[in-house]
Amino acid sequence: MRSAIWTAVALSCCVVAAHAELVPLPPQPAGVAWPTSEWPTGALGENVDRAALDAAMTDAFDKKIADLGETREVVIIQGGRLVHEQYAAGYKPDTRLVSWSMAKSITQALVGIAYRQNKVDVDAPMGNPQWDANDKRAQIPWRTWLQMTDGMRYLEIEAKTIADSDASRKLFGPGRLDVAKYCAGLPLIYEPGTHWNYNSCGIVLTADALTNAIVPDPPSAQARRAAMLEWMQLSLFNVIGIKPQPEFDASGLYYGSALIYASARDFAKFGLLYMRDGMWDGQRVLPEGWVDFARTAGKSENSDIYGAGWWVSPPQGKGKPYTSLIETGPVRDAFSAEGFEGQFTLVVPSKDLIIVRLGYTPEKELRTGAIRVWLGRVARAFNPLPDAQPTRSASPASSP
Amino acid sequence: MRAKGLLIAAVVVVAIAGVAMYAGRDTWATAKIGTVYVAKQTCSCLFVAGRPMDSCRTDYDPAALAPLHIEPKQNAVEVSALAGLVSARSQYEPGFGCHPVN
Repeated sequence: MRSAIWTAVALSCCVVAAHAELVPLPPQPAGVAWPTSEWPTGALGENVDRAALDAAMTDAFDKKIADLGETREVVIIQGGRLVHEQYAAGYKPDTRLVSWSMAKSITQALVGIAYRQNKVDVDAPMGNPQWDANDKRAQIPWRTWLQMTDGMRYLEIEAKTIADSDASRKLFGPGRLDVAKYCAGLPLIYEPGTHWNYNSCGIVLTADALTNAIVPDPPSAQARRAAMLEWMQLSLFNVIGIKPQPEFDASGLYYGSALIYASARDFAKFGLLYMRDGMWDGQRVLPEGWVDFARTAGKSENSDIYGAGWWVSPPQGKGKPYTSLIETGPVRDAFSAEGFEGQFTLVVPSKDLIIVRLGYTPEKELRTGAIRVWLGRVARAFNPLPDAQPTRSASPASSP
Repeated sequence: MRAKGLLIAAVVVVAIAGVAMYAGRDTWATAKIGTVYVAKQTCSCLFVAGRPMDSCRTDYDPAALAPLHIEPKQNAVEVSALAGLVSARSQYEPGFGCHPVN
């Protein structure tokens, strides 16, 4: 009897733990318009420590923090309303700035949409025209590429010089005219699905495969990019009311892993799509469970900081293999789109809070982590909204 | 004797050239990548973001920018370094952004 009770207690703990892994995503509050045409605004409420917020903004825009670099655009959304925005001199609400790797999160969304449209199967091998069917790389599923556990030999974060970095080489070196061809030439060095390594090339190859699925037989590079851009606009950009500029290489491929230009307000709309579990104004945009897939760390043993196209909060510690934690408050539920030189779209479900920061933080300063500390300060200035009532339970991440 | 001297001199010259090329290969590759990078990103800064040239220059480490010559063109940006030995051009195409063309 006693053992049965303990078993029941243990099982209930496990059930609670399993559901506790993901904080529910809050729905759009009643009476708050969706920002498809423009952001509804709201005043900072009693839940906000205004002195702390003001101090954080002054520190950033007046460059009072060593290693933060230059903050150019900040937009903060809570409860679906724009509650704070600030711009450095020369930058305006419609100034489009570079995403760098925040584009990876947009590519994750586009793959989800294509999956929903039955144009791709994310659990099937993704493949590439450069590989024959027997090539081990050709067997890797889409999902694994998005989680960056593909096992490819790709060097970026640990690169000692520009000339050694695959990120530089693919975009601005030997790969600059056909980025996917460069990426397809990289070998595997780990068994797929076992080891996490930050791999921009994996997302380039994902963008290439996605483009091939959407535009199977384009007569030219120009036709390829035009058809892909139209699909992106109809399937995502127009739906949530954003006007980004994705860039395309000479082969007609949108870069996928980087180089989408958008305003902070538009990045915030993209963040809201994820905050609302892929729903937008009554319409399902992303497949059910796709956001949970994005914000759940992959199963590799060497990493706990990356989901699928999005960075996630480590369950304890500061993250492995890199320090990645942004201390947004008592609950470790934040997930983020992150780009080179300090581009962030931070989503904090427990506070229904989105923080977008665009700017220029040089790589050396970025590595000190000052920007994560600053983002944490901003997030902690916000408490949850008093009437927030999350209604949706977390769903298993493996079943979108 | 003279032939032997010439041979030794030739070997020394080849060795020095080899060492210089080996030592300089990273510099060359970095210069090439750097010119393409600045051409591409400056093109996007001007034509996609709509920022002025002075603002675009703040996207780079001033020391890294010093050896580069940046020349905005109509819907393009050209960058050269090492007295023109290394150069790059990036083209803007409305609706599709900028991309390297050489």
